Amino acid sequence: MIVNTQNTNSRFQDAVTRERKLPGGIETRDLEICYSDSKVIMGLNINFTPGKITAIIGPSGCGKTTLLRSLNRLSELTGGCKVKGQILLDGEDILKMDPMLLRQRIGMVFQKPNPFPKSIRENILYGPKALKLKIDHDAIVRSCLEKAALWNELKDRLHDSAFKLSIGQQQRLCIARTLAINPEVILLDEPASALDPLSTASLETSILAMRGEYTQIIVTHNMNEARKVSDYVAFLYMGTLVEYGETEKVFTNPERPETRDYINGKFY
Amino acid sequence: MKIKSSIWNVRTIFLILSIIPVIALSLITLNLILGSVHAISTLGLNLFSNSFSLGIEPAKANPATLHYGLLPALWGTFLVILISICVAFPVSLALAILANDFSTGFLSTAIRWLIGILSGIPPVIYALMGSVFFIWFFFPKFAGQGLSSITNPPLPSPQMLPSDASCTLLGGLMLALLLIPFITPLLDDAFQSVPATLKEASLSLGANRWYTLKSITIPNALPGIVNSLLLGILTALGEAIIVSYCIGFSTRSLPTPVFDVLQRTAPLTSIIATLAGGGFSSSKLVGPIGTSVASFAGLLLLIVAFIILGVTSYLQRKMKARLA
Amino acid sequence: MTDTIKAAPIPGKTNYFSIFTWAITLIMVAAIILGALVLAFNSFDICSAPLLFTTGALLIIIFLFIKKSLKINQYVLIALAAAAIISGVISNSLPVYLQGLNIHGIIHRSVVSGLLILGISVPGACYSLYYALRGTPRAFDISRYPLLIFFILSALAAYAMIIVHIIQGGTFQLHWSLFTSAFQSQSHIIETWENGWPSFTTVPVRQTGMLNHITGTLMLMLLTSLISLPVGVSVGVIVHEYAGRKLSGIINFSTNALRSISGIILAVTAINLVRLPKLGSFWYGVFRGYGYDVNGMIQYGRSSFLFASVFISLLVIPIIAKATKEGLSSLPADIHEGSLALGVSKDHTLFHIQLPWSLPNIVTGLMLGCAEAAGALTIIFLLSGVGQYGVNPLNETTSLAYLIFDSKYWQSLGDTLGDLKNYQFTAALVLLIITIGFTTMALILKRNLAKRYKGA
Repeated sequence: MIVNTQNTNSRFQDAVTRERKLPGGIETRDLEICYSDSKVIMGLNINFTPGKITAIIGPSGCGKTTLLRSLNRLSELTGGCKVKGQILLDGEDILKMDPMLLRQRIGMVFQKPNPFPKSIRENILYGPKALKLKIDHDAIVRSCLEKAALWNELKDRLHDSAFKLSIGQQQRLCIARTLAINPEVILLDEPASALDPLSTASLETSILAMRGEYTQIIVTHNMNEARKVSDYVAFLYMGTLVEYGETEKVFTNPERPETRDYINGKFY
Repeated sequence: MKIKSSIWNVRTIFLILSIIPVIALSLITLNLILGSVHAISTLGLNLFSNSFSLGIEPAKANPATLHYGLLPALWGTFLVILISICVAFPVSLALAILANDFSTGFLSTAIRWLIGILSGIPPVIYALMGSVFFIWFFFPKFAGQGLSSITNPPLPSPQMLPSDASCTLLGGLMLALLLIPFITPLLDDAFQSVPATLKEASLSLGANRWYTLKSITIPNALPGIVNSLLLGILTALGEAIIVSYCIGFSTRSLPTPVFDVLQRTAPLTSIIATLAGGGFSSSKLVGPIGTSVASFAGLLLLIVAFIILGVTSYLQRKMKARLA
Repeated sequence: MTDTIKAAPIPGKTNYFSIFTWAITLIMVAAIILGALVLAFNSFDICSAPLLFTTGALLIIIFLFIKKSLKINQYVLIALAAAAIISGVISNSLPVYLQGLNIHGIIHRSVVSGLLILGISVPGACYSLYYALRGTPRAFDISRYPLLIFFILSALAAYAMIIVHIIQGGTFQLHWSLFTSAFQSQSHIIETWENGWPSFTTVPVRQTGMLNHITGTLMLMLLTSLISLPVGVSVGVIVHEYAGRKLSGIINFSTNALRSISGIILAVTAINLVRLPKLGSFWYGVFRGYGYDVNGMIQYGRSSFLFASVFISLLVIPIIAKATKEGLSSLPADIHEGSLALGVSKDHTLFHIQLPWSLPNIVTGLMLGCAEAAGALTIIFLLSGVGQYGVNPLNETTSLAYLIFDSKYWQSLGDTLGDLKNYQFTAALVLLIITIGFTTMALILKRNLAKRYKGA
């Protein structure tokens, strides 16, 4: 692992090529997010451990997706969204960074797979081409597909349209596409909610395989999935962090009554 | 039973009323075809010759001096459409890009409101302003009135613009002003029809907005963009008032350097206006075939309009299929 | 992955670099403005050559700066600088008036130099803005703004000039009587008796005003709405209800075609039709429009309001049909199904659920149609007169748009006499107020419609 020495804020994109750090740790301090004057997230302080998989669980509408989208500043795309507080990526405040440079370090996989209407190979190479990275195209296609557990299935049809894949394969293609830009953190917004059980199993295998090399933050509704896949769990309720800790501990012995009620299915 | 039968009548009334546009369109087409039979049978291919002249004095109109060649008019239409689309399309594209990919809520809404308000300006106003106001920008630059005395050495009898500086360029520019509020909402719709998830996926990979625009938005919105271009051409094709005011009502023949936009090359619609009105500029006489030639020219416009409509409806079906 | 590290800009130098690039950006923006001025006015042409040389020099300076602090060569800047200097040379050496060149008239040098300045300074501003903002990807996006904004602002400037000039010209020499008195230009023949013999004196009746044109415009809007509303709604309903069937496809195509074939073809047909009835028949009066002058004599015009409205409504029907279709398809399927699930017939649902829901859309379409009717000149410019004999549906067509047309071409039709033809700007102003007013109302209504789908 090579450490980089660049200041993210003031470099010229055409002058430099990127260097990757250790998997990044994200920390939020007093984070508040408001959508047109209604507060969605209030006073959130979380420290996401680098290299591990953290699951964010909680009832619908409590702000999980909002939080996730604010971590790579996609929340700015919807009008009327204001973010206050600090979000630190390895000590640098995300909110003061150039958002595009930020998104090269924090990647996102969406709920519904959204491959580009191009070939499989072009989908993966989209990121490196957009960022003008100087890397070997074939090598990166192979390594990303291998990490997403798709290489054996697709190595002969790299030039097929991405829409010909099954929905589970499309989702793993989206993961491979995100890996191609070599991010430090990967955000996954309910990645398995559109998939059938068999695809979900392959997805979970890929997520577990990426542990250690990338920090992963998963938002999920499915508590079984959270339990199987994550190292840490954060329970979000009504925009505040109710409980945070190691998965096994939170699921077997939750400290807070709300956590216990949610895990036992008393409300969703 | 009573209630059922009365409502049955109402639906039939709707059906009958809605056939009216079909009947109207067929009648118009029929009228044009029948009206142009006379011209086609008398003049034949002379209709596409390169000379167009009408009589000067009613009493002495000699049929032999009346020519009805429409070639200059067709060329005029082509020039005017070329100029107006080349000016209007980039501006509309810039507006649509700014409203969609490059700005947040406030600026987008402001642009859309502004364009909506500007689209309410009727063509008469552009015609008026073109012939009264904007012409004054042209005078010092293109017209050459009295120029030979100013320049040193004096220019040898330069060919001047008409004394009122009306030229194809002016007509094209005013037509472009008409087209911009028309094309921009169409382009806007085309850009908005690109699914937001694709744009988000691209942005979340770290690409900047310009790259997303180039590689995702525009390729996906291409049918819509071509659609709006065609509809713009269709509107420019049928515009009679602006070009009549700013260019003139008829042209004798093709301009000598063919692409000369500083001469007057009246488009087809002005010719139709002149001919159909019985030469409403009373010093001209149209002659017996005049109205028939007007119908023929109208028929030409109708055919081109139908072709363009066919292509746009095909494109619109393709756009809908893509969304599904 | 093996990436390589390249050095970031040295902190100490960054300040100078930043100041310089911002200064250069501002100069480029000034160059854009000056270029537009050169294009507009001849007198600014003096500064075009020095401006081009300065721009070229500044671009070379940026290139050198970047080469020094970032150690890369941006050859694009060199190419742009070379283009600037060559343009400066060209601009300087051209004669003041260009002749020949395959162009009929004479072109002033400022046209060429203005275009050259704009062609160099707009990319120059983009590049210098990019480096002033430190070259991040976001900076790349922001640096494209000068390109977009330049096109947009030049168009908006033209529109602003139009509106300002019309307001200026329209409010010049304005007096209230213009709007309250109708135009009259007739001769009243009075029969008097002198010494047992009848003698006739002619008393001219003259009045300057545009009341009849204004009421004419309103009458056109009213009649057009009356005719096109039922037909437009019917087309919208039928096409929506029977979508996919052949008949509705034909109706849909015809309606769209009517919109696209534009006024002039309808004008030709109208002119052909208006000549059909023979003098003296009932239809002659209906088609041509008639009125009674001060002497009680019947006067025939070129066409009647009714006749003209029929043709204008052919243009307006597609607008209302499209609006109705949009309104009907915006009804949420559950509401529609809910009504049918109660056993209510389709027609009853149509009348009591679907059409009331689409009512705002229909009204929007109607307003846009009214704006269209007010501004319609292409159809009626050969079919209108001054309308001094009254403004009811069977009178001669007249409209504000016609007044504008006739004021310019009064020699040809000669209807508008006296000083009314000087008031073309006032007529334009009133017309603009009517059309923009209706269009804006329609837009506001559409905006309020959007809220309905989210909330209620």
